Amino acid sequence: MYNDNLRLAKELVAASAQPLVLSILEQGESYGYEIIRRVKELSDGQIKWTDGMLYPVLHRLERQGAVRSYWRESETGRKRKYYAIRIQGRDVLAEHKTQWLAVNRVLENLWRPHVQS
Amino acid sequence: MFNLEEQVGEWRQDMAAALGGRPEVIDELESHLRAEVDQLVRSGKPPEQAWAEALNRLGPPGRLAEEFAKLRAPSWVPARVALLVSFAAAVLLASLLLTRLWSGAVRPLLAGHVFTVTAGYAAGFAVGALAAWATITRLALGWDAGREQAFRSAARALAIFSVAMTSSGVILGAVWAKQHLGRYWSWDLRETGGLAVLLWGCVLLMCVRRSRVSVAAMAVAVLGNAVVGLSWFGPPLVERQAAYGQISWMPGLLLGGFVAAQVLLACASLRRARLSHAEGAAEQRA
Repeated sequence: MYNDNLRLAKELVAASAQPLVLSILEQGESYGYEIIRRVKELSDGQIKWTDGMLYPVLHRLERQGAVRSYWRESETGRKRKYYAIRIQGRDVLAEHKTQWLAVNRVLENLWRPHVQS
Repeated sequence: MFNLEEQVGEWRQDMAAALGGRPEVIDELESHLRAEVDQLVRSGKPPEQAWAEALNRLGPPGRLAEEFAKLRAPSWVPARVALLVSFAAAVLLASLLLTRLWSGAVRPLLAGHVFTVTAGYAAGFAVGALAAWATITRLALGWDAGREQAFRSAARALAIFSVAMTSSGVILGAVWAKQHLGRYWSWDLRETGGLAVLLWGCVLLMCVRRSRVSVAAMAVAVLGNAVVGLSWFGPPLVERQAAYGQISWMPGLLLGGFVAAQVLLACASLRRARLSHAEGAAEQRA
């Protein structure tokens, strides 16, 4: 199903960052390193973020009120910053889902004859 | 001999220089780096190589700083105008009162009361006007997170100023009343109006907190125009009626029309927000 050589366009990776992060946080609180690990795992390594680029996304989401953050001690004893989705974040995610599903529907309809052939 | 703590220390200095400080951001990135290094060392890589790889994956400080720089607060011209006009009005009023104070035309207590109440009311009008403009913008042109954030920042600043000034004005007014009328408070129209504006400001502050602007916040902000309008211009109208026995209908009609318009606008802002939620929910079910 997946092509090992597939490289996603930079713009697509950037556009999908917010919905990916919010979708992961919707499943439960998490922290930056873990979010990056989950994205790699879910995409079979096809979505590769420069690790540091996630953090401006998280900070932007927090500034917008979509997520909240707090520091907590990790299992190693070091402090770690966790993020959790807020109600407003669920609204933002719902909006993203609506838009992505709309685009997906159109592309599926356009490509179906080509896929079948 | 590779020393991780030394490397982290140097990296922190580079990051601080690139970011212009921001220790909390650096702490968070350091936490990420250390987690990555731990993972790579557990996978069998030597610490020095793990550190180099983790740094490479995180990205160079300059690049990170560029991305964080894009997070600076968005600007929205009406919000800046509201803040600027409020500031200019406060400075102008202060100058006028200081001139009158200097000439002996007014006493310090009364001047202080007039300044604080007027500045507080004006800030209330400013946030109400901004909210009214934001409502019209949302209805006509659409809204986005940047404008919302700019509105939230300006509304918080103006609401805090309004509450601070109005509460000071109410207190100074009570002291003046005690000195000249023999009592601190008698629930007259002006005193009650001041209290109403103060309460409105407190409600608005609760609505416009650090989170996203709630549905109620915009409506409450717009209603501020009505509260301030009635508190400021209502008492003189009623006092003229009581003093002269006949009230000119035009000022009352204008005030009533203004208040009604604000109430309608507040309702429109609530309805638009509810429609957006309903449309979104309907699309999701489809």
